[in-house]
Amino acid sequence: MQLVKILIKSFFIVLLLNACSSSFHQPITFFQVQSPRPFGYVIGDEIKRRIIVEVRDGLALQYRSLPGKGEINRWLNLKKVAVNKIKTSRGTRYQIDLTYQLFYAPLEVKMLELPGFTLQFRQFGKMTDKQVPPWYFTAAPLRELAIRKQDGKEYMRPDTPAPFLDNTANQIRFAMFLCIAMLAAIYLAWVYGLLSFLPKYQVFKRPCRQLGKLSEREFASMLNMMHGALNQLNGKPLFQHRLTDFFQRFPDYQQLENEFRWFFECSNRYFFGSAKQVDKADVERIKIFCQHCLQVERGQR
Amino acid sequence: MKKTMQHFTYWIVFFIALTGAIYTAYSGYKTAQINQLISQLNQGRDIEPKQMKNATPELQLARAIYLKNKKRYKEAQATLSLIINQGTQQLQAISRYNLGNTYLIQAIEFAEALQINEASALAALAKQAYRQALALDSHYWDAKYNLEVAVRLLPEMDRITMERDDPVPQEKAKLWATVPGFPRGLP
Repeated sequence: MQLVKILIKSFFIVLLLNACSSSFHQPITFFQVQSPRPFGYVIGDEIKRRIIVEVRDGLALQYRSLPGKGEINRWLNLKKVAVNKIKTSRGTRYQIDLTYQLFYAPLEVKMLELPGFTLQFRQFGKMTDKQVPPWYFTAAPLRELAIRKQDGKEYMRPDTPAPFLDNTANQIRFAMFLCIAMLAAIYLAWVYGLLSFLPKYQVFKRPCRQLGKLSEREFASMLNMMHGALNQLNGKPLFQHRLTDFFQRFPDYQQLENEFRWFFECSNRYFFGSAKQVDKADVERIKIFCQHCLQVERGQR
Repeated sequence: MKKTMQHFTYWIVFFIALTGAIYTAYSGYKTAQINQLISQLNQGRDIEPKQMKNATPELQLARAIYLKNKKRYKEAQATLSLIINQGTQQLQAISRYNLGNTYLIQAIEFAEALQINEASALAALAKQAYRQALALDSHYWDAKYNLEVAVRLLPEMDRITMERDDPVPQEKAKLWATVPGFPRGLP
């Protein structure tokens, strides 16, 4: 029993000590300054420094404690200040990126200093400071100490010639527009029957032209010409009782079904019927039928 | 009706594409003409004043370099001052670097003639132009080199000590408190 009491007391003492320890109360839980190589810099170089600070919940970085952009001294410029704030499970993590630019022209390799500064954090009106130490690095000259001469004058780098304007975007755009215009033109030419060299699309073109020249006395030729065109389109002789198959193969011509049926009946009547009388209206109707077939062929119907 | 609409659409597409092609061809032709003028100036042959009307920053830069090569520094500086904020960041850096060169070459000429005051003022302007060029492009090696030339011509007042570095003076006028020394190198 006595041992248990001692153990309980010891436990509370340890707990109390732990609560009083500095790490438990530390407002800044993590602090790291990441610096690049400390040597080999020349005039005009940029030097980047990253500061990572993790603080407990409730502590807020005072942005005015960060160094301001602009000239720090005559040879050092703070070019960029970027702060990235990330919420973590333990508090807040600040990533501060500072980009300095060096404008010092040493005569020999010389050690220089990026000045330190104090980061301030605020919690309930109380301020907590964290010192960012200065950082030392060496800078080297670019040119020799003895003055080089050129044409009796001090040597300096020549002018940078004016760059030429980039014409690539124009060329690409031109090619694109031209391709689109050509594709549209080809389609339209096909629709309007200008691509007469394509055998697939010139079945009704010639019959239409020739039918226009024939009169009612040459009605048999007109019928044969039209039969010939339909046979050519079908790839084999086309008969009236095969029209359903024909429309399945060439559905675009389905809309002319009545005209097809009339044409075959007219042809049967003329070639196999007793009356050889030709009606002038039939002549015109064949011509119109051929025109309609041509329009379907060209995708105009 | 559907077919007619389809054909109409194709006609519209055709005319839009054709207009676009004509416009880009014209634009490409103009660009090629400007490049031809830049090339002419780079070869040391001047162009007609009317060709400078509505000139692009690149063409003005080429003309400024031509003027500088003909020792017409004032005209070159005036042209460059007009374009230092125009064009891409890279072009602005080049304009500022070339402006710095026109100041520096004059500063060197004055220094050779022992006209110290004029040389100091021009070297300070050159340094400013080079620093601006480097602020835009920190990898601009020619600007780094010539800035060092200008700094050597007009050394800074600052003496770097590791104990304490001088802060920037509040008054701008004090920036001119320079020692117009012209080191001639080691004997």
